[in-house]
Amino acid sequence: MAIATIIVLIVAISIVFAYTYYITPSRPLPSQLTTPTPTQPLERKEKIAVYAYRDVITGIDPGAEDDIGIIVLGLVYEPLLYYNPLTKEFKPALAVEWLKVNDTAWLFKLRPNVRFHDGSLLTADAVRFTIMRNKALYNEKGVGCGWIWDSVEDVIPLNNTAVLFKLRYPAPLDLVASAAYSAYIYCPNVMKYANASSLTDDSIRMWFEQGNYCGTGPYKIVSYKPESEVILKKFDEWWGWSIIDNQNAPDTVIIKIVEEPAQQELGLVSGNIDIATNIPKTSIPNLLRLGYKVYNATFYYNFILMFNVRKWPTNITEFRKAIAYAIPWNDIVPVAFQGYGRLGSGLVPYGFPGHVEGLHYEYNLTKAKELLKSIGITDAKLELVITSGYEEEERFAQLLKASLQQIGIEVNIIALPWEQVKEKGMAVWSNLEEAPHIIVNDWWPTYATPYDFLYLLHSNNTVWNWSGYVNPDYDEIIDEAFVIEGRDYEKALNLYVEAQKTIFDEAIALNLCDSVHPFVYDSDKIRFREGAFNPMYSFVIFFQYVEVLT
Amino acid sequence: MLLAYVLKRVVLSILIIFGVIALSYVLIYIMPGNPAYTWVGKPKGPKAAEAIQIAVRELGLDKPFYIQLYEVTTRFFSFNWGVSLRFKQPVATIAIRSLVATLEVLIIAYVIAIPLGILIGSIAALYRSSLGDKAIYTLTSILIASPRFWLAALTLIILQALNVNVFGRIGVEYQPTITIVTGSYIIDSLISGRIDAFLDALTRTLPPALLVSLYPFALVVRIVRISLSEKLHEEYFRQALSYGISGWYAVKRYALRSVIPVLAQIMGITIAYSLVDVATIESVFGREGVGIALAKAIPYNDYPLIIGLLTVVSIAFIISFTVADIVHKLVDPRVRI
Repeated sequence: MAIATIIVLIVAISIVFAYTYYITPSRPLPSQLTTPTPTQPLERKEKIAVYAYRDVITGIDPGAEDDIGIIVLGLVYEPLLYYNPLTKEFKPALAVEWLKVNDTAWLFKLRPNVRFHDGSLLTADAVRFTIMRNKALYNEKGVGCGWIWDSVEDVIPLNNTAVLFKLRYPAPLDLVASAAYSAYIYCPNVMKYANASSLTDDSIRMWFEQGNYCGTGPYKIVSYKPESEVILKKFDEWWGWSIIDNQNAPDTVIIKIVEEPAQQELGLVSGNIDIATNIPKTSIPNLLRLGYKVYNATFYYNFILMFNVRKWPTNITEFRKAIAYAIPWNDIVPVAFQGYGRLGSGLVPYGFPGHVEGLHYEYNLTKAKELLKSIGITDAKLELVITSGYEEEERFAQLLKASLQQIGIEVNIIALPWEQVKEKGMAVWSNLEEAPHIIVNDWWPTYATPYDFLYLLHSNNTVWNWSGYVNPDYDEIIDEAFVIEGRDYEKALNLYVEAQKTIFDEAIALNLCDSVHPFVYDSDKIRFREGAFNPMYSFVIFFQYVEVLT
Repeated sequence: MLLAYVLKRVVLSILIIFGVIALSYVLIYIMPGNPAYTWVGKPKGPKAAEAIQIAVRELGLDKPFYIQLYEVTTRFFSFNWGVSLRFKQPVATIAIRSLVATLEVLIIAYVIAIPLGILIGSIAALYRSSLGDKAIYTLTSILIASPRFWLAALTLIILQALNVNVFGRIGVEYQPTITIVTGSYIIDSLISGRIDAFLDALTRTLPPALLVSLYPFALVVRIVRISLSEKLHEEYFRQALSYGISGWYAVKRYALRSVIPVLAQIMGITIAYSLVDVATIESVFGREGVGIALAKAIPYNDYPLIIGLLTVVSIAFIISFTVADIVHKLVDPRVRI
């Protein structure tokens, strides 16, 4: 009896396996693609786009999130405006008109008849609620990027569709309102949904993080598993569908977390992933030959090498300069970044306000040796901390190690998970022994201000100033520039350039590369329209501007 | 007797879970990395440092170690598993959905491994020293020694080359059409009445399940072969044959019964090993699961999630040991549990 059952079971499994082998869909070869016969009525198939990202989603509270959650938030929520620093153009989102009334007052007119995902109307009160919560979250708990609203004293709803921002000091509020973080407008009903008693009640955050949402964006969340995947569905009541007229926009967007580059490649080739962000760069030429396409997205995402200026020998300016001259600058982009990047200059990336050209060192080993000789250092051992899994940083570290060896400096490369890199970096302020001599940080901005990048070396910034750099003059320059941005933007930009020259002259931190991100996609299925990417919103694909062709 | 057994198991389970929590927390405590950094994210601006201090206070990391350990333990035993520091979601939610994904593979693997192993093992025992027996012996040696992660990568590449899509847990085209009830796509697709989705989910689960099944299969074959060979020489078995009862019938009716208790005990332990196997294999096949979740939690010192996942796995072990005991008792009433 038992033997018979076992045999039946084996046969049943074999049949199921054999059957599924034949019915499993797979990506057809180009030659096998056929045109549908026009006489046959075609049922409209659900259009699905699968986007693979390399890191887990760190949160989806639009008021508290400050990291990877942007790739979801950018589809579910909208700010008042979008801004593209490359074209220097604003694009209306939830605000259709905006006006600087005077130095300390801005008026925003909201788009009428916009509905949140819960059906409620977008009103000036919702704008006030969002900004006040984001500010409060930051002021009380330091959570999120509410600091961008620091200049805002009050948000005054004039009527349902007009809102007046009263400022404490002049600020470019159009730029602030188009920030990549903490500028997404959400509905005040979240207080009710989360049974919250105050704006900063933890229950609101927990409500969001469980996969709930209440924005105005073109997509809604149907499944939220931050460690593995997020499924988004088209929000049919989105105000923009009739404007952009994209019949082929995906009905469902699946954001898959696939950390391993090789797995992203496998997923792409097998048809389980349509757009991949983290394909091994060496595999891209082969994928291009197979018919896949690459969209090289420029985000303001750069890799900054920071010297520890509090620890011997990187506390000596000449020594840091010697290292700077020994960096094989010409190999960084082609070798470390495999061609996907632009050599860094200054601290602010190319195309971003405040960027300055020609502010980088040249590879000159003779000069490096002379500098070392001038300070009497013939050999030294340095610790270099990089983030594990970042292939660009790993290749750069090897390049640097090989080059520094030629001038008698030994480099110990330490690759750590991101959170431990951060701890090592912060150790420069609290535990100098633990802090490495050199550390690489990757950075992207919150909104279009150079202050975001330059604050990395502010003496008050004990969280991100991994150089341990303290220079009151530098602090004063960038603080002044930040304050006058709203009054005299040109002068502010000049001050930011001056600050970068100071950093360059003292060789405190070096922008290695403004990276370019190749999005490899299945061109048989996916087409990007203009607007699908905006460099200000890193890694967000605006799927309302994506066409799914099959 | 049953009550005593249940009580013993409950006490043992509590001790094991306490041990898991304590050991995990001690390891996390001495590991480099501050959990507060994970909890707080990437705070920027003038309040960034304060945000970290607040996070340290919120997580109780400023308290002495023994108080931290006491709080973590009591919280877990009061079923408040807290929130994942990295994912900001309840630990229980992540742990259970990861376990469901892992069990999808594990259960199928054992459903294949045990009966097939018994069958092949019985054949080997009945035809001991024959060419078939030697082939089976060699095959099982290879299977026990083979690195499953390597086989997984190889299998995936071969299947992809044959256009068999086995990446992930279910095809994206089916995903939006299924109502999630249990978290298992195999079961949920049936609940949603989607046979096509069920077959797709099953197709994607079978290859990793087959790979996971290799080790328990080989082990079952070995155990059945050796144990049965001994039984086949015993008096009662030879007498059964002399009465004209067929060898297969005698094996099934008499000899196998005495093998099953040993098998049940060993399978209970083997599940622990297979869980490690699943962790690597599910990663290769782009699936979710306990192993993947742990791999994402450990480098970030996400201690509530690490403890939650390990506790869930421990509970799974305890259940498998208990089931093994019960099977043993059912098959052999002489055994006292």
